[in-house]
Amino acid sequence: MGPVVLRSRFIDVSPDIRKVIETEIAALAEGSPAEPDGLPADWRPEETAPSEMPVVLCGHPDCNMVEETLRKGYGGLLQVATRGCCAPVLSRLPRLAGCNLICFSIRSTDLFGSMLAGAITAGLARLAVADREEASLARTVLDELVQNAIVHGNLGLPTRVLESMDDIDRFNSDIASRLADPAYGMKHVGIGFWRTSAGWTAEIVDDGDGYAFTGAGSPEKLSGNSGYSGRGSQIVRSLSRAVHIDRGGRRTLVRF
Amino acid sequence: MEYSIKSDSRGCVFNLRGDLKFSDSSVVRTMIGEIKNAADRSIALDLSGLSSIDSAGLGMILLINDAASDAGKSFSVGKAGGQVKKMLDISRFGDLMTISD
Repeated sequence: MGPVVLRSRFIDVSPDIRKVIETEIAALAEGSPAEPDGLPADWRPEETAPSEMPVVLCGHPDCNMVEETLRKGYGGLLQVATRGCCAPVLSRLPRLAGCNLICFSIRSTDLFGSMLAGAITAGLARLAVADREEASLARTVLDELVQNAIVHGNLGLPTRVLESMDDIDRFNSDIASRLADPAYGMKHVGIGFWRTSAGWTAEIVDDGDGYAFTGAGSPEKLSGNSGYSGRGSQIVRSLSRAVHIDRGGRRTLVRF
Repeated sequence: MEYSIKSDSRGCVFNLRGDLKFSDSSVVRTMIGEIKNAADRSIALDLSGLSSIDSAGLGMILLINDAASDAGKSFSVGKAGGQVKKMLDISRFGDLMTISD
């Protein structure tokens, strides 16, 4: 973990979130921070240079996400509301290019198929990869991971083999039903983005029960080109420099 | 995603534009209906205007291919570039259908 930067900016932070932040700051100031969130060594953020202030950018943040983010190294919290906040997010992303930690925590119902999701994934991909076409591929990886985190993670819908348009319509209907159910739709997806010595890393975390990149979506089956679905994981592996999956499939790390 | 149709030496050509993703299932369903009813025996998807495609979009191209085959028509995909071409390549669509440049 890098040097602690004891600077924070709170904008309209809820009491619960503020309590988490203050607890973490106190632990860090005492030199006894809690263990980082189990990141393998080569996936951890670079040490923070004093002149850089990592930024946490949250939409409807939840306590777990903020806590995890603070343990990676922190300096500020910029909270924005979701839905209708695409313009502020887009305008801020370029200015975050000098930062080495960016994080979003957004409810599934606000994120799925939204302009906000597109703004985030496109913006992060442009930060990670200068080449336009390569950035397009990086965005594809992020889009697939976010969609998996929502559909298979938070909404708890297993991968299916979709063999007809009726199958697709039924699947989309199931997605819409689960999104409308607060027990599923209010679950968060965390999107972390930070620099390591080996390049930019993206972290996608969901609040679901976990899911395996096996079965219908396994690369083995896909290599036979027989399935109509489940290609997302194969695409992620093909277009990323490295992939790490843990927490029973709830968290995926990819490197660009 | 949007599309337009024309006939040329390739047969009935569907020119796709924009992004093909999971939310385009209703457009693809309409396309499949037009493919089944087309007088031409050859169907081609011109992807030169397609900006991006996701894993669900790839699955829908397979369903279009199946629909054309079931209707007794030949089917090809062509003129993909950038991200779309890369996605077809890594998913080895060339093993499943005719891909032209």
